[in-house]
Amino acid sequence: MADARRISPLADRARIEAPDGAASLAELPHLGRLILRADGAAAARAVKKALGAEPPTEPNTSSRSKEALMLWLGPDEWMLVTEPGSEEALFDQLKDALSETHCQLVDVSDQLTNIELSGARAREILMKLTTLDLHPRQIGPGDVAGTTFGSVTATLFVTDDVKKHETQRFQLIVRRSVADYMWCLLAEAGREFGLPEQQPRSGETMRP
Amino acid sequence: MLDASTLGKIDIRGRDACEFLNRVYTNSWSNLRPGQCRYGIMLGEDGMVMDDGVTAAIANDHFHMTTTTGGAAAVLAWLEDYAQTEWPQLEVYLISVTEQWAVASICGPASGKLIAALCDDVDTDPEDWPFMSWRETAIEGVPARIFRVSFTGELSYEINVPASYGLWLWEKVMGEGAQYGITPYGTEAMHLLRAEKGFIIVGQDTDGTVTPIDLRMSWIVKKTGDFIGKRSLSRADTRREDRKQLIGLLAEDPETVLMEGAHVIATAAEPAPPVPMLGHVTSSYMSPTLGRGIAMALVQSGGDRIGDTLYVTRPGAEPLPVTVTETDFLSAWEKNDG
Repeated sequence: MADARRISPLADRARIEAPDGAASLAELPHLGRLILRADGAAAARAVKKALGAEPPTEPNTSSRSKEALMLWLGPDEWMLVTEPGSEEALFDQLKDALSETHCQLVDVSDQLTNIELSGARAREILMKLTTLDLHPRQIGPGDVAGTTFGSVTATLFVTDDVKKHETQRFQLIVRRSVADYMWCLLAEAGREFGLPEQQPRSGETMRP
Repeated sequence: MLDASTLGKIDIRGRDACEFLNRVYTNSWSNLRPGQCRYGIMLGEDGMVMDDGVTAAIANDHFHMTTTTGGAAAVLAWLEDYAQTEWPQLEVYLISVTEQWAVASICGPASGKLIAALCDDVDTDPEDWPFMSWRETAIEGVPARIFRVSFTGELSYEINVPASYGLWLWEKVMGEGAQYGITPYGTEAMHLLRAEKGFIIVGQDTDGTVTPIDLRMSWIVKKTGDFIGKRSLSRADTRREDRKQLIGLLAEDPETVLMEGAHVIATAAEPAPPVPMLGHVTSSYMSPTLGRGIAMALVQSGGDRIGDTLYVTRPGAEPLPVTVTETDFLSAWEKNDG
């Protein structure tokens, strides 16, 4: 049940599209997000017990349970992403299962936001902004990477629910205070493919 | 009301969280009870002040640490480095929550009444909450943590809400606070207010070469127990009696606002170079409350010079005579004039 008093970091940014499906940009507002820090097999067992699936142990990958997408952030750190409004229930589920384990579970739903970049040229847009190799043989559906895009750090998630005829979609999970910069940066990188210009809220210019 | 959302916030969790705090701060945390807050200073391995902030106990194994805005990322990296490489046997985890919480800092004589009016349910008058304590509450159903802490020297509360409610909180507080004449204030006003009280700003009154003893804050350095930087405080150079120390300066002319960075010398006239330099002005403001300019400065053996006259240089004119004072201008003023 949405609370109208809550404003997502990019609430003032409507979805933008380039012609012919070249690219589109939209915020996925108010997703539930938790960070879990825990180590070892005990933690994996506890999460499996609570959610029915283990968190990913392979670096830079993800896994899914019914309620949550689990992103590997580090050897002892995961981000759990869930539907808007579900983060409290997820938190309680995990907290109970992890009560005997040394761990830390924190709600970061407000700290970050997810921006979805899709379209035929989405990969090319991202390639301009990062040194990470984004070729499909290097990074594919379900992969996760924390790296720099332009001047800010963000977590990249290569969506894993793409159907056969669809082009790959990407999510950038970015801190609230730099979300508008990231939005404008992505739009700027997509201008040659037809994304409309976006003026940064802070008044700076993207193009010198 | 000041928007204090940018300050660094780190969630610290684990059986050894308290021990971890004891090792990274110069003071002791073992007796901090859930619900209480404490101010702490962090040193680099060289014994120099690196960052400061208030840390609150949520539970015996759970703390909410705050840092300076500019130092937030560096402090988290610093703490994580120590946790992973120096003390891997400690059960402690750290997660940044700097942008998870929006923070409205309310201060002034009516702030207690305003907090009471805002909260859905407070069991005691906010003015009866002990200073340096915090409460878990709600404002129209929005979960809030309210910390009774002060950086201005006045009655003050910092309301923390999940960041998505930040704008709503601001408008709510401005609306509810109108009856008390509430006004927004920014960082420049905040810098001035804290200077009246003699509170330091790391990176302004310190520059990476200043120890807590130089700040005349020996009280914050625990006598027993190891902490990062402790050994460096016993180096010959950090034990020198004639190190620069933080003191207050009041110019002869109350209208004068000394220039930050100006040199402090011992003589009324500037001698031929090389001019022996005693120190420099770190913070300087015109205080409307005290009706005069105030300044803080790092001066050689400053603590021994209270009451003395020194001189502050300026380009193209005679040095200005100043009196060396304690840094808590507000208390002195309240005693004499207030």
